[in-house]
Amino acid sequence: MTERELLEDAWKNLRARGKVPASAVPPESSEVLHPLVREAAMGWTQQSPLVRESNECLVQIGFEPGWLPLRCADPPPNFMLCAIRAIPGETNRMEWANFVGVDAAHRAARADLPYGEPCPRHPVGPLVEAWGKWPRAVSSVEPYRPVNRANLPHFHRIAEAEARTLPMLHAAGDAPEQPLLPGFKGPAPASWLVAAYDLCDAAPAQGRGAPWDLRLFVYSVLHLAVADGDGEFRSVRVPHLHDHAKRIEDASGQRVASVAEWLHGDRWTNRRRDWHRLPEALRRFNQRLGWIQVPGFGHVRIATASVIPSSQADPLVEFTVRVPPSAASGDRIDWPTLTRYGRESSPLFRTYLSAAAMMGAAAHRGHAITREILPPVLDGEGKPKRRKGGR
Amino acid sequence: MIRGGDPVPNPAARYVRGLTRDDLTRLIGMDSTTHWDRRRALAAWQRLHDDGVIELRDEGGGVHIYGPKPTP
Repeated sequence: MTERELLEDAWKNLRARGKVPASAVPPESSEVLHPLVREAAMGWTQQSPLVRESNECLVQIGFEPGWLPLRCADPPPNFMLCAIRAIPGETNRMEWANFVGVDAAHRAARADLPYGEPCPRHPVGPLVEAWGKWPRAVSSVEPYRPVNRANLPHFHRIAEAEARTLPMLHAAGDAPEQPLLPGFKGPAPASWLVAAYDLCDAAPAQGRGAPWDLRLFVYSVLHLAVADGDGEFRSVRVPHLHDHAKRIEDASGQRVASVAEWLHGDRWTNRRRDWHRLPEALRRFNQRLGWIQVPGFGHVRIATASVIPSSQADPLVEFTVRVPPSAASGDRIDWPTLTRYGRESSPLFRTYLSAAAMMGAAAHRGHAITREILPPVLDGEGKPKRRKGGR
Repeated sequence: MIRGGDPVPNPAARYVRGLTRDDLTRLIGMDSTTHWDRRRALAAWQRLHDDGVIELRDEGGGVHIYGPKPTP
């Protein structure tokens, strides 16, 4: 029996007996692997933009070959790596290891490095190499590419009981910057996406169109089919620029819109001048957006930008998205209209999202949504009493 | 021009006039109810109405929001 078969058997056995925590992800779900670990696989250098910019470090742990990472729970700074390996000579027995405080340990490792010394091989390198040798299971579920319509999930439906069953949850004490979302019980329910954006101290729109981070957040969440809303993380890989999308189209014949096309349509004018705003928007997305608060529980991560391009040559932007089953069935959104409005104007983009939420609620109730507007109060002469400005 | 208190024949304008400060904040992201903000909100709702994305119908006592008209 090969080591891989051993691991697979042991995994199934542990799952069947409930020994694997709900937070564990099977080894083939390598999409959840944090980009920092991927960086390590490429050979860590201090010039690495990811390490330099994020000031994050990986742990100096004496990994031995044979360990396989299961998941990297939570984004930095609560970065945690879990690893698993088969116990040699025994069947269906696994050894676990949790490495906590990765960033602090990695900082210490960098601090110990004498000045002028060549940068050593990253300690997690062997681990990631072992991961890379694991043959990936080919997922039968293709990511949903909205062409005509998309589904706006109802994240406010997530209940506390369901939140406790979801993997990779954030503890209640580690609240991100986004505060509690308001309830949408009034007659004019706005889209929760817009409210989530506003409540996280979002920056106002600069230039033409809706803010990039809001658009990237909304678009990435919409790239999930209703059937894939099972609470598991799914990776959505999108070509970075128009050229990369064209290359994919030439190779496979499949038309896939790029992130640049989401934001700028067919042509990105001033791309050289403005490109740096794209990774900045993705980092803002990771820091502030992508969380939903479940009352009585805490914050749940629903979306993250797991691969952020470091240059215009990087071909890919990857989002990791999940939708719990209770929120999967949502409102209908017309994808070309949404992207067009997003490019045109911020109020238009937000109003369309709100209108979609209202129409969804109207369809659910069976009658049109009405915002009650009282008729003006008339005086004795039949003229309205309240003039402009409330007087 | 939106004039408070006057009968407004345009349903989009009537809708926007009835929005509260919280509504405007949530819909267009401006914590303000200035005249200019309402103009921007009106323009957005009017655009959706004109594009056929939604249909705002003034049915007395309130402006109803309907889905797009079916194409013949």
